[in-house]
Amino acid sequence: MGKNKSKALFYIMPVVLLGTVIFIQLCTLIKLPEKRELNNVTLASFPEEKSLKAFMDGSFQKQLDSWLGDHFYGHTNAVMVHNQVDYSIFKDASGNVAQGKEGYLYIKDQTPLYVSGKKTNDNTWDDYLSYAGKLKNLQDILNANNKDFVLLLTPIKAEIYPDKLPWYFKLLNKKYSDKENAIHDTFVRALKECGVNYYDVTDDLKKMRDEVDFEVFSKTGQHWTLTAAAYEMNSIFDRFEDMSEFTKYPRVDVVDVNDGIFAIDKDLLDMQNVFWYKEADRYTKPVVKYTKSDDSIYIFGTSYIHEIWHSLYGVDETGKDLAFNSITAQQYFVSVTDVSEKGANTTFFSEGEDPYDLGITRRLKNSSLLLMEQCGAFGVTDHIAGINTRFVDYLTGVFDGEDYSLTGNMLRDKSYTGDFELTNFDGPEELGRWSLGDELGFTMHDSLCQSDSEKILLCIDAHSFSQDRDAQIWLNDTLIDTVKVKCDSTESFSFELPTDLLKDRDNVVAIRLSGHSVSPKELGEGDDERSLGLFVENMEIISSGER
Amino acid sequence: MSFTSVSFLLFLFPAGIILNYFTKKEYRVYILTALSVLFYAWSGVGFLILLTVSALLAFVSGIALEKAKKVSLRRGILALTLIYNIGVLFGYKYLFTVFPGFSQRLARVFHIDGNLLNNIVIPLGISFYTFSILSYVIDVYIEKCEARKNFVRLYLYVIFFPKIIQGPITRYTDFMEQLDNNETGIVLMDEGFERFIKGMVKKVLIADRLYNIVSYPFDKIRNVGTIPAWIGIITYLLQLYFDFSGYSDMAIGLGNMLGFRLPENFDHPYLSETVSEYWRRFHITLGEWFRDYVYTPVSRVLIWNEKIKSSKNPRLVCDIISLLCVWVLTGIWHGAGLKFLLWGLWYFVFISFERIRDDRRKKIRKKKGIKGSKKTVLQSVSDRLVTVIATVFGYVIFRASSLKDALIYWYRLVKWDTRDGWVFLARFDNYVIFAVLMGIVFSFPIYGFIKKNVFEKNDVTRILHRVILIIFAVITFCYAVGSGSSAFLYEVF
Repeated sequence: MGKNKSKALFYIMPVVLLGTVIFIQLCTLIKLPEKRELNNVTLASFPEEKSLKAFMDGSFQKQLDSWLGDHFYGHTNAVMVHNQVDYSIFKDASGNVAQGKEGYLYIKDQTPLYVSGKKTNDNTWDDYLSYAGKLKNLQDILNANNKDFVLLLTPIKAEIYPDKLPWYFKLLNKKYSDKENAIHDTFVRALKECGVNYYDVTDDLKKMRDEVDFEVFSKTGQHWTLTAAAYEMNSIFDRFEDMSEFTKYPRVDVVDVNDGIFAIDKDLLDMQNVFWYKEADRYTKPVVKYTKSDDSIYIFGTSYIHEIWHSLYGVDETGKDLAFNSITAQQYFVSVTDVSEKGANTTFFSEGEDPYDLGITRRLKNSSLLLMEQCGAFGVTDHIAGINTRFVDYLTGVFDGEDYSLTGNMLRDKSYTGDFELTNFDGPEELGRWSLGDELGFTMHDSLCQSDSEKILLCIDAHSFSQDRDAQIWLNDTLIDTVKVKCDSTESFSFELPTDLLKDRDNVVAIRLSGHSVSPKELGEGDDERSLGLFVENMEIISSGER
Repeated sequence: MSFTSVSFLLFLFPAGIILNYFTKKEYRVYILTALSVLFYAWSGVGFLILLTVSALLAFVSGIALEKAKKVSLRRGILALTLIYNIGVLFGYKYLFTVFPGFSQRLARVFHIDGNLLNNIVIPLGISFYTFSILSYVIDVYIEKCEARKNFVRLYLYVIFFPKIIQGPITRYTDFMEQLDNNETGIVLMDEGFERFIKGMVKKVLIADRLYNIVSYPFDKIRNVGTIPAWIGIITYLLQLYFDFSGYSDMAIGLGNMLGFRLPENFDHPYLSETVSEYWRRFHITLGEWFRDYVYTPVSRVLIWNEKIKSSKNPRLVCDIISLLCVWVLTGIWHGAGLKFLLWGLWYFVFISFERIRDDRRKKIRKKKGIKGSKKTVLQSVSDRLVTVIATVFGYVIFRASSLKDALIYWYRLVKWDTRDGWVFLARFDNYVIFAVLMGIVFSFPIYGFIKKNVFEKNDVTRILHRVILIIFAVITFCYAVGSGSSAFLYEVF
């Protein structure tokens, strides 16, 4: 058989493959740019540590390896070829995404939560009861503080579109069709047993899916669509009204539906990084009219809350219309969006930040409803449900207590200062901030007080620079107190801000110091030329008494 | 540096092939040594120094052994070299794991962080290159070969980059013969490319895709049902085979491209009828190393033992004791702790049982006057059943993170439990099913059959074969880049 072998044959692989490699090398060396870019991919950076130790233990080489792996010419195309093979041949999607029928994409690790019932997590009935009990406790505490509480249970995509799942999930669906086993339904049973105000939109959305011609969950996204959320709002509010004492609900009427991308939802198709894909109907946008409520609401939940607050605000793109007086939407502990007639302002936080630094209490104090949203299929102890528990525990602790901080320490290094502005403070240092000159203070844009019987306290821990100084505390240009601030030790001061002097918004607090501030340089104590007033370690506003 | 990393595939690999191909024969050793040093230094220059010291000691010992005339001196030199090399291996691989208290004491004495010692990184390929060095020194000692006078050549034998991390464990004499007569050519290179691509496909497209299926039952060992437990371990057998044999194919392919023929390390082990046969087909070079340097010498010593000589079946007794030595060492070679020791003993029990059984069968056949050694169908089926049980349960010990976990996993395998079964199946997406099927199909010698009967028919089919291989090379490369190829399973040994 080998006799008729042509010698040229043996050159095919070495020439083609080595030729390709050399071509890639040359393009990499001359830094030829690639035509495409990958979505949602972070490339490795060049090794930072170039020490002998890193070289000896191989950590430098390891990082260089990763960097080379991400920065050679053709990297983007290589990744896309990989994804394309997965997408087109194996009908799969990259990352944590599953490709179902007709271009429907699903988050892979979320899907078994629905289709396989409680088998997928370790939640016990006691876990459900314990969490539902916490919710009930918070509900009672908020009711005692003249606020309503309702839990909105939402479905995941697989619950609304089980028929579009890929076959391997459908197999599970068949096996675990017994509803008694599903996490979502067990959760509902626990809520009922504990008397928690809740509304589950799952059945409404299932019904909607059969009746309407738009997508209830976008094919290529993971959320309910804005149109579905807007259509569902009146049903939600109808049920909420039955459970509420303190809130008047608006009405949301969808007058038209247009094609258009609603970019808040993560588009899973865009994340696939493939050359060719099935173009799916992506999103629709509703045109909405409101019958407005004068109340304000606080929404807490998963990323599904974006569709809720967008249904209640600005969907007509004028940005002026909103269904409530004001809306605060908090997604996990990563962002808080304040929505008012002025517009929507989102602040982003890292998950590790203290909850009260997000200004939850101050914002919630001005709201008559806490709408907590949660995906029923996640159960009660999963990572996301764990964030809800953290929120519930925090609020219970705060509202159950006598006093609570409305601001947290206002001097910490915040990424967002939209709710108040500091006056004459220098940047944050390890323990606090120096004030510059003879006057310091802040302007609080938000409302601070709702009840006449409530006490609002301004608490400050401070010492002065080089000399003891008298400090006058002014609220909205009215002197409310005078104290002496020592230079040798930090002292705590507390001032009551009279509620009759407080305005609805933009309250100005000023602290005027006696004498003249000097700089360390003027005193021959170094090169610092700043005229230092007080070093303030903590400054916060506390709510006390009956609210 | 991994064979599936971009830095290797795009830089060192082509540099090695092209430089070696176009360099004069007498200078190739320097090119290959330089590339191997670069390859190994990628894992840390510190480890390179350690390896170089071991190679230098072997070089000096070899010459000293050759020059020394006195037996006692020769024994001393051999002992010193063995102690050093085994000591380094033991120090890195076992000392702090087997004796955790020792690291704390050492840390106190030298005022260093004890955790550093407990989490010490094992030099890449230390078990493999130590065995290469031992093979050289022992061969010189028993005068099977002459000591190498050129350090670079000996150094290349130890550090040769295609085999340094995971073998195949190469004998000094075989390697040197090829190095001295290195014949790089386009035919061998073509063969090498084919083998390398085959190895990449095994590793990247099959073994790596099975990771999630294997890790699920082994990570959830206390809550796993019977179905996932069985699927998990069977998938692990596929993953381990395709991962390790994939590496060996790549190493052999690279060797071919550089003008070497490295020894085969696998021969479709899952076709084995007996456990002994399985180990003659799986990690062949390790088995042969133990056969030549442990089993045979121990047997030779034992056969002269008076007690053994006077026993009913001295040959069998020798075999069993030698096998015990081999399997204790095989277990220890794979890792520290009781788990690996018991894993080795597990196979010793089965192989000894087979040895005794075969001996009895032989006697029965002789008694009945049956000629030949053909088994009955029942014998053949029962032998295969024993092999499956030995392999499946044996690899549970190997894969589980502790002996306790292994025992729990065994319990999961034998005690019927329906939990998790269907949920686990949701992990079998289209690709995983493809990978499992490919794994099962290519556990049989299908590739060779197709190549012989389809691709080798004429030049057109041969071109088609090469085009298919090039397409697979591109796809595999894209998969290695796109989803990241995980480390080779045997790298840790």
